[in-house]
Amino acid sequence: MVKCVPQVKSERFRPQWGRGASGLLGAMILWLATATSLHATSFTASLDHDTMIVGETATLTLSFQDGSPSAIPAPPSVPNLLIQDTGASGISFNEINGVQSRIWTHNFIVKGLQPGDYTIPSMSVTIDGQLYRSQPVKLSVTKTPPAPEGIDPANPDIAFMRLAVPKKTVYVGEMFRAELQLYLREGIVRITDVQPSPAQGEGFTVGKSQEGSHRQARIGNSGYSVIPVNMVFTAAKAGRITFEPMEYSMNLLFGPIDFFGRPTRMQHVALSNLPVTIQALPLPTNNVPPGFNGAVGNYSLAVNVSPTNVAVGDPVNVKVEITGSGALENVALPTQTGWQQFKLYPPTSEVHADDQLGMSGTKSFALTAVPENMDVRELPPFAFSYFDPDQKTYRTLSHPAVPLTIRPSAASLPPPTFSSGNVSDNPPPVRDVVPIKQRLGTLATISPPLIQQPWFLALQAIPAVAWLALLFNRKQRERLANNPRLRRQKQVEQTIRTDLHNLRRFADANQPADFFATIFHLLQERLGERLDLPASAITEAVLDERLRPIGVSDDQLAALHELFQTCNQARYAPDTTHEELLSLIPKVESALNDLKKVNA
Amino acid sequence: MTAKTFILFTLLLAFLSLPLFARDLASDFDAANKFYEQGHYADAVTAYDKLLASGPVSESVYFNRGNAYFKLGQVGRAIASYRQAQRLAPRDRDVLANLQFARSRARGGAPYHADRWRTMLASLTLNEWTLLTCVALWVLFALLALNQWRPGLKLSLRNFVLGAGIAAVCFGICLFVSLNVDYLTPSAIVTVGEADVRNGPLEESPGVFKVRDGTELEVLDTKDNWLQVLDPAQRVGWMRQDQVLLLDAGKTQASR
Repeated sequence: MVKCVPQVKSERFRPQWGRGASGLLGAMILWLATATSLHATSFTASLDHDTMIVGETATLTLSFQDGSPSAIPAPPSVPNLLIQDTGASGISFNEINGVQSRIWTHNFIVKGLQPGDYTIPSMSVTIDGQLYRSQPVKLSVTKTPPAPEGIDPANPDIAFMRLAVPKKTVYVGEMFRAELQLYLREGIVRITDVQPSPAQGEGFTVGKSQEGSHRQARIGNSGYSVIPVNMVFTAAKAGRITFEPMEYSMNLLFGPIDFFGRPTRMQHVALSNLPVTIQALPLPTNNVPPGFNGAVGNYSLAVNVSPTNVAVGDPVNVKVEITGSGALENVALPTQTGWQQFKLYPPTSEVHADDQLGMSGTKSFALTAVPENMDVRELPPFAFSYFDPDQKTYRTLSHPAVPLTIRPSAASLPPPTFSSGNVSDNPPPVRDVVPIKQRLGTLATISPPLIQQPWFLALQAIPAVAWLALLFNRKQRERLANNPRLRRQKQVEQTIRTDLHNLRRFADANQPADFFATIFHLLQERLGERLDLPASAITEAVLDERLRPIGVSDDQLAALHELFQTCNQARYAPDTTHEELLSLIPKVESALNDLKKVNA
Repeated sequence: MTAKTFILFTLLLAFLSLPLFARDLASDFDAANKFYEQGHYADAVTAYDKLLASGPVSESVYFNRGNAYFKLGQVGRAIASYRQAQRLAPRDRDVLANLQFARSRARGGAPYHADRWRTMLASLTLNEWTLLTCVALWVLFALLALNQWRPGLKLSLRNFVLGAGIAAVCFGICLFVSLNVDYLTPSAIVTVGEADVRNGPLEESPGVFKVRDGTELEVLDTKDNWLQVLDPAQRVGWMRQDQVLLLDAGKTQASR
């Protein structure tokens, strides 16, 4: 919400230059203050680390900025802290916002002798005649952790291993954690070629393992990097459980580092831990629940049943989820009593672990129960018992009975009966199969259906082929109808074929008049068709008038002239022999064929 | 003896021996029926199987074998036999009645109702649909050919051509569906009391549903000795091949 504030105009006179001058003055003051503060002399005290272990040292640095003390202050006396002057001094220069300053430092060593929280009091120093005081500095000194077993804190090894098993007493079937710790002294740059050996021993089974977060430790005056490997075991039998030494061989790489950043020294070591023994107790034998089947841990139970409205013989799916911490892989579904009216199928199971080591999670069982009769009213209660090692007692989880609605199945229904009515319209229900046939009947060979018989499919092509043939024929006729010349050409071809046959007949019958008339007719038809003239208009004169101009050869023209003249002569002198007639036929055929190539 | 004479003699011999062959089959058939009437259903099944293995068969043999299986309580095998009889005699009322009865028994007494389209398709055999389609196609092409031969009749024949075309398409669709359903899609019939249908073709695969003796399934895929099946409720899963009787598509002999 925007609030409007009414502007109140002042009636006092303000010279125009007043605003600018006050701004400039303020900036100058600010600059001067900054510059002054930057060049101000100061005295501070600081520690390089404010927590340490007993026996460890820290550096207390006194810093003097833009000033040199007339004398180094004496270190304060603090009970259980040893503060010694190292005599080390140094000078450094700083530049901030273009302003240089000089810092002069002097160092003390502080050693914690006893655990506790300490305050190094402020110290006073005179610089250029003025007294300056530092602020107090806090320091926390903690107790030194015990050196691992077998390790001399005064002279610890460069690398060693130990197995830490927090629990000294477990129960049979209980899953517990152990930590294998690899200590590497400071100075080791890297380790390579690590060859571990598996955990060995009696009385336990080995589960998953996982490398943990690296940490730092001090043993004596030496700093170590600790690489932990978390391991999971399960006690398998009662009695002493001994974890035999595990051997890890590796190469330790040391500095100095060469130009390429590689360590220059290497040492091969084979490390092993000391054996560790714990005790595995047997599970109590009193107050064991009836359905207990060996589960050890801490669990909760969830049961889901669906569907709850089924017919006799239809399956009901039961899902059982056991959630908690323990050896879930070994948890089995207990035998349920009171489920006699159900047909049970072997369950399937799967485990979902919550952590990498598999120490906690959920195990799900899928169980199928089939009600076998209509007397079933509910799925009986489900019980799961386990031993809690922390409480050292057995516990039983139970899920109450789940009501079920069981319908009759179709098989259990009586055969359907018809309502009263006309007997002829409602025949009695069939209660048995029709009796067997007494006659063998017609024998048949089992064969593929017609649609898969090639001959049948081929037969169906006939009407299509017939249609296509007729279609093609019609198209051909239409083409001819639309092309008179083509039609005439075909007719002439047909005529020539017929007349050539007749020629032979006339020659054989020695009928020269008909023979030569036919030749003449043939020539007329062919020439008329080629020159697109009526056949009746064709005479010998046409040869020179129409054929010569279009380039017909002289030989061809001569042959045609000869035929025309022969026909003319035969009109007047029809006395020709059979052989002569026959000899003309090839000439006629040749002339007609040659005329085919003529295009007018 | 010339070759011609030899061929004629062989043909005559074969022709004359046909009644003998048929007489043998008939007497074997009667013998099998006698086993059935005496209540020796297992022996009857064996005798009917022997008849079927001999070559040409009749629907009566399949039908009677179906009855014998039914009496033995093997509903699945009975349904398979009735279906094989139906392929040979699709309108035999006895076959249809017993097939319906066996299917109802497989469903626990609940009456079996096929889908309407299935009932319509089953009203004709595949060969009948084939012939109908072919007749429609022949009529269609004949009319088209007539159009080509006598173009002047085109207008008057137009409706007939259209009708024949529609008939050919409809019958063709029915033929295609019938072919796909009855012959190209292999089917199987459960022959064990109750079988688990699993998620995958492994014994370790979790079961998804159960099927009972007589359930008719559609086979979708095979792997080793496992079949992927589709049940009437459209559920899919895998089951062992030895739990079903496979009705091979395209053939009418049952095989395992």
